[in-house]
Amino acid sequence: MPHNHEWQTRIKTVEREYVAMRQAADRFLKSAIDDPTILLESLRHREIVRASQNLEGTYLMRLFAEFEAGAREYWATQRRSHPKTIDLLNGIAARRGIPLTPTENAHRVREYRNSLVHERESVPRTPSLAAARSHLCIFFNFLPPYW
Amino acid sequence: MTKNHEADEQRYVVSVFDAEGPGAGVVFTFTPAGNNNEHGVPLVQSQFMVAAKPSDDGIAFDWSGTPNDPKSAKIQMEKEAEERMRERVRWIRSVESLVDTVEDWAAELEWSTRRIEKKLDDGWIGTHRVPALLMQEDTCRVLLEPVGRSAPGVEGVVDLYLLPAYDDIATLYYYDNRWHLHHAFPDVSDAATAREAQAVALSKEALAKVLAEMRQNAA
Repeated sequence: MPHNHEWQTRIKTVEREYVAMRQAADRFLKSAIDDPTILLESLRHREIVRASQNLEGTYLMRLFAEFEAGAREYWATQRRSHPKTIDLLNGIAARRGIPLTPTENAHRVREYRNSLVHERESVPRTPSLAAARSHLCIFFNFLPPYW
Repeated sequence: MTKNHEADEQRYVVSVFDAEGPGAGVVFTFTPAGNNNEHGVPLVQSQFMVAAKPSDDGIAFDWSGTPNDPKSAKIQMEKEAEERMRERVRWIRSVESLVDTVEDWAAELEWSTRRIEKKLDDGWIGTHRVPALLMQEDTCRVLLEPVGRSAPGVEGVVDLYLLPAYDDIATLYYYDNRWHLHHAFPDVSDAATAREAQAVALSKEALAKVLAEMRQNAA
C-alpha cells in the first residue's frame, strides 16, 4: 500500500477504535447506573463519567500522534532536522504546495491537541474526532504516494 | 488452540507469522499453555513449529524447522493449523473475488480503477495481504478497503470511503454466502440498527447508486 494511504488508514483506524470505545463506555455507564455492584476495585461512578467525557479528547491525542508520526517519517526522507510540530506542518505544506485551508485545518487539530496536553485555560474551538480525522487525512493526501 | 477440545488434551498458545520468501506459506508456533511455577512465571518449555502452505490436495505441512518434536501431538497441531489456513485462504479469496467484481462494475460505470495492496494483521490467521481498490471519476475518489475477516455475525468487513478525507459512505459485510452493502448514514448512531435497516445485496445497481451519492457528496 502506498505510504500516504497506509498512514491515512492508521489515522482512520484510531477513529474506528474510538467509535468502539464510545459505544462501550456508553453501555458501561448505563449498566453502572442500573447495577452499581458491577464497579470493581473501588471504582466510583463519577470516574466512569469523567473517563467517558474525556474519551474523545484522549482519542484525538492518539489520532494526532499517528498523523505526526507519519508526517515525521516523510520529513525524515527530506531533511535531517527535527522541527517542532508547528514547523513540521508548515515545512511540509511549503514543500508540497499544500493550500492554506487544509494547512490551517491541520493546525486547528494540532492546537486543540496542545490544549488537551498542556491543559490550557483557553481551549480552541473543538473539532469532533470525525472532523479532525478528515482534516488530517486531507493534509496527508498532499504527500507523495511513496517516500 | 486456546479452546479445550478434550479434557486430557494439552492446550497451546499459538502464534502465526509469514514464512520468509515468496510463496513460503505461513509458520505456526505452538507453546504449551499453563506451564507456570507457583509464582506464575512460565517454566522453560518446549516449542513446536510447523510451516503450512496451500497445495492441490489441501494444506501441506513442513516440520523441518521445529525446535522440538511434537510426537503424537502433531495431529492435534496440524488440525489447528489447517483450520486457520482454510479460514485464511477463504478470506483472502473472498476479498480478491470482491475486488475483481467491483473493478469490472466500476469499469462498466466508467470509473477508472487502480489496485493497491493492503497488509492486515490478524491474530487468528496471521498477517496477510489483500487487494484494495481505488476508484475515480472526475474529482471524486473512492477507496474500497478491506478491514477484517471477523466481526459478530459476519465473515468479512470491507469499507467504502470517500477520499481524501476517508469519510465513511458505506460498508460491505459478508454473510449468508454473499456480500451485502450497508449505507453508513451519519444521522444514524446505532450501528446495529443501521446495519440491519440499510442492507442490500451487493449488485452493480446498488454499487452504482452508492457511487452516484458519493459523487454528489464530493461535488
